[in-house]
Amino acid sequence: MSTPTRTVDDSLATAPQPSDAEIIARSRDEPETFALLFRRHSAPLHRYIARRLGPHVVEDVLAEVFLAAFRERGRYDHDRADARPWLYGIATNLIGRHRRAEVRALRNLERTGFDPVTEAFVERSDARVGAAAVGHRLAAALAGLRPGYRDALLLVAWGQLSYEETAAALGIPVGTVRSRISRARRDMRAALGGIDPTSIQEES
Amino acid sequence: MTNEMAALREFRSEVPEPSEVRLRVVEARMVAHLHGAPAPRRAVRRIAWRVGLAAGLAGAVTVGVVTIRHQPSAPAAPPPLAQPSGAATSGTGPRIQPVSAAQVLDLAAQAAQGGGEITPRADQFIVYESITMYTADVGDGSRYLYRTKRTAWLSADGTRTGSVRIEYLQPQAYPGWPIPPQAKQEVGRVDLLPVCGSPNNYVRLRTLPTDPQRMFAYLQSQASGGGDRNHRLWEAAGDLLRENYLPPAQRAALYRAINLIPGVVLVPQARDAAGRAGVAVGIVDRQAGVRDEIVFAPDTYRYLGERAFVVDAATAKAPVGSQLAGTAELSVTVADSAPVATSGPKGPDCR
Repeated sequence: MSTPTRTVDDSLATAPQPSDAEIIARSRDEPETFALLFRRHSAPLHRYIARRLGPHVVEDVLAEVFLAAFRERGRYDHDRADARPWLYGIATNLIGRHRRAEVRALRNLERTGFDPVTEAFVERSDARVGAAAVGHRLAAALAGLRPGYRDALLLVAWGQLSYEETAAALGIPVGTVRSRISRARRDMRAALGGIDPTSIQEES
Repeated sequence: MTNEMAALREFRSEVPEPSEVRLRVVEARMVAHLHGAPAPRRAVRRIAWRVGLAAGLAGAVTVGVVTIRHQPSAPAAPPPLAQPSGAATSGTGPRIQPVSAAQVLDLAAQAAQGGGEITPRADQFIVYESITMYTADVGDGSRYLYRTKRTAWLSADGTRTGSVRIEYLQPQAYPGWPIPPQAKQEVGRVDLLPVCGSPNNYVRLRTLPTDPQRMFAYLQSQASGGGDRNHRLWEAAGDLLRENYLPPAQRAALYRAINLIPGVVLVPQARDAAGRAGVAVGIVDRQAGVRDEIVFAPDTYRYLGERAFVVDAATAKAPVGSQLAGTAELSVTVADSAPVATSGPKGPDCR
């Protein structure tokens, strides 16, 4: 009866890393390797889901994203080295199950200025002048978008996916992504109206 | 450009990335569901091994022509077994040359009652040391056979966080394919990953049937889904053998239940991935174009490992007779604890 010595898990930081596609392929035979995919992508995915649905369901949704991905791993397209579009696509579907709650929170923010999604982190936010007014209007605009438009817009704005990646995530042509985002941006602009929405630097 | 995207990027930007601790909690929850979950295509469990890797393997790679169908009596004398290594000869009495898969499985079932077992407590870990070789199907269209030395610490009752240590060894070519450059880069890397919630834990396995017919019914209950029904039964059996410690009564029942799966054939000579000579039973997986095998020690009929050989070159994309599967279970022992597989804060226990 031996007691194994502790092994320090530091090799992950220095050794060459396999691609997402390779991790997924391996997880067919060695399920545990799927944890590597989780470690690689879970933090930004967590934040993305939290920004859409708030802190109460984020862990459930995040776990479900990776479990759904695990169940579907046999169908992963191995020409895609980067699994982010795939994972964000699965996350989008699962977020869609909370659509009513998501819209309710946005409407709540629009009406009351109280955002249930950010309440837990409110002390960390900058006290920006005018942020509240912008938040009201953005919330109204986001709540008013059709779901497919909101998904495309937020994958680009918050998920930091390219248009091509967003198209892959949503399973729609990139031309459709372009038209949805351009339409959604027009709606956002209209909602922001005459207000100078930012004291923020322009993005390119 | 306009400001609305910048405003949107600021919107709810106070939502932070999660803490490491919270992520570990979610990871543990997820991992709890991974281990032991049915593989999407276990059929393509291509444990990959190149023909002729070890000297003296030549006899084993022609098994395609010497396999004998399930039958009660011997049609002819089988080819002689390969010479066993010294350690493997310290067996139990006179060597019987099996002439059918049924006989191999029956001998294995009898040997299961022979003693020399471990007796883990529920709060302990069973430690499985093995070497494996599987196909790495790289995204860019190349593939190779990656080899690992693998140690798994699995909670005997499934309630404690175990771990698996995977050390990558020198890769091999997928038969007929060049080895891609990235195959070499991972050699020497060691991954230590958490394992928890193993459904096939020892305490649960102790509750499985000890009667062959009822064990076969259990395999049927686990073999749902489409595809080749017989091969799915085989997979369900393999899932109980691989990195699992089956108590002797259940092990004997399982071997006799495998004998009830149609299409199981004898493979008289089979070396495992550690080069140990053995005797195997196998079944063709048409979806993968391979024959999967379970290898037993030729004297003690202990489980040695698994293999797979190409039987359909077009499907497997490798020559008929080339070996695409090789594992070897080197040891099964008991330990009081498992290495902690997470950096940072201690991982949460399985619940």
